[in-house]
Formats: sequence, C-alpha cells, structure tokens
Amino acid sequence: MKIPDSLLSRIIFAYLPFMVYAFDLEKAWIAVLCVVAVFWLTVFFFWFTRNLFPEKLRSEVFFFWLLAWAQAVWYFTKLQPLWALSVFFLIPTSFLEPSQKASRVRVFSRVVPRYFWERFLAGFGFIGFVIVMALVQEVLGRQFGMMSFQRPAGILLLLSLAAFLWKNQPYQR
Amino acid sequence: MNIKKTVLTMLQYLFFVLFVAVLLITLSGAKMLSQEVLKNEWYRELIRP
Repeated sequence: MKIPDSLLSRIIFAYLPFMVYAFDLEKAWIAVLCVVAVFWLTVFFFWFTRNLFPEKLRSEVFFFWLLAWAQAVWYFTKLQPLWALSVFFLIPTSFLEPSQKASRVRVFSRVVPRYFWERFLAGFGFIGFVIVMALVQEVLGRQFGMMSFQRPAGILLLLSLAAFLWKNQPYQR
Repeated sequence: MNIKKTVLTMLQYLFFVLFVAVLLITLSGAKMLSQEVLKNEWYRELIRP
C-alpha cells in the first residue's frame, strides 16, 4: 500500500510553523499533542455540526474556532499561537465547502468510521513526524553540535529528505 | 417550501450567532481561570520557554 502524497504535503505544511519555535524534545511533545488533540476535536466537532451553520459562513466559523483555541492555549501556556496554523494545514477543509464532494456525504453514513479512522491515523502520522524531526535535531544539533541542525536550514534539508523518501517508497502488492 | 428554507436559514444564522457568543464567553472564562492558574509558582516554572 502506498501512503498518499496529499498526506505528506499536509504534514510538511503543518510542520512549518514548528520551525519558528525553539523547542527541545519535551516541549515538542507537548506542542504536538496539543496540535493533534485540537485537530481531532475539530474534525469531530465540525463533521457533526457543519450543517447547523449557514453554508456561506462555514469557513469563518472554522476560522473563529481556531482563533479561540489559539487564544485559550495562549492564556494558559503563553505558547505563541502559530501552532494553530498546523491544525489549519492538517484539516481537510473540503467537508466545509459546499462545492466539494466530501461535504455532500451524509453526517451519519457508513463512510464516517473510515473517515474518522483516516483522520486519527493522520494525527498519529503527524506526531511521529514531529518527534522524529525533534529527535534528529536533538541528536545532530545538540549532542553532535552540528550548528546547521539548530537552524531552519538543517530542518529544511530533513524535510526534503523525508519528501524524497516518501516519493520513492516501494510499492507492495 | 420557500418559507421552510427561509426559516431553516434563519435558524442557521441564529446558531452561528450563538456559537460566536459561546466562544467569546468561554474565552473570557478561560482568561479568568488562567489568571488563577498562573499564580502557581510551579506551573509558571513548567511553562517557562
């Protein structure tokens, strides 16, 4: 089974805001858990409530929702709200747009468990990706003292390596 | 049929207004709660960048 490319691009985009933070491994864990928890909650919340909002305002509602979470987390942790961008990039907003196919799937249909399962796995994929990046940064940047891995240049190199490996993953029958 | 659609749309807009109001009220509650939580020394130490 080949993992779809759209998931990789989504994960890489979602990782970009993390480059702004100077996290150590522990703080990266906390931040990524926060991102993924809000991501799962958002998917769950909007899947069931999307039809209750006016069609024209669904994107705005999503935007307000994200802003509120970013603000609330800032109150409690003083974490700069850039992490909300990660949630934004991870969310497939297609089910909020009336013209998209996903938005026409009924709220309670047989597709829903599979849909949630895919989102659940996407969250785990993102956690794994961020932790691997933080580990490599920790080992190469701090333990081995390679300066480039303490800066975005090294991270971009890792991102391109991940994209290359993903693009060339072997097919299985 | 049109009346039904209009009423539904109005209800949707009402829900939207309620949703925004709940968000704002929750946020102000979160702000007050966070001020209490941030009084703890160990917690401030935990979240220090």
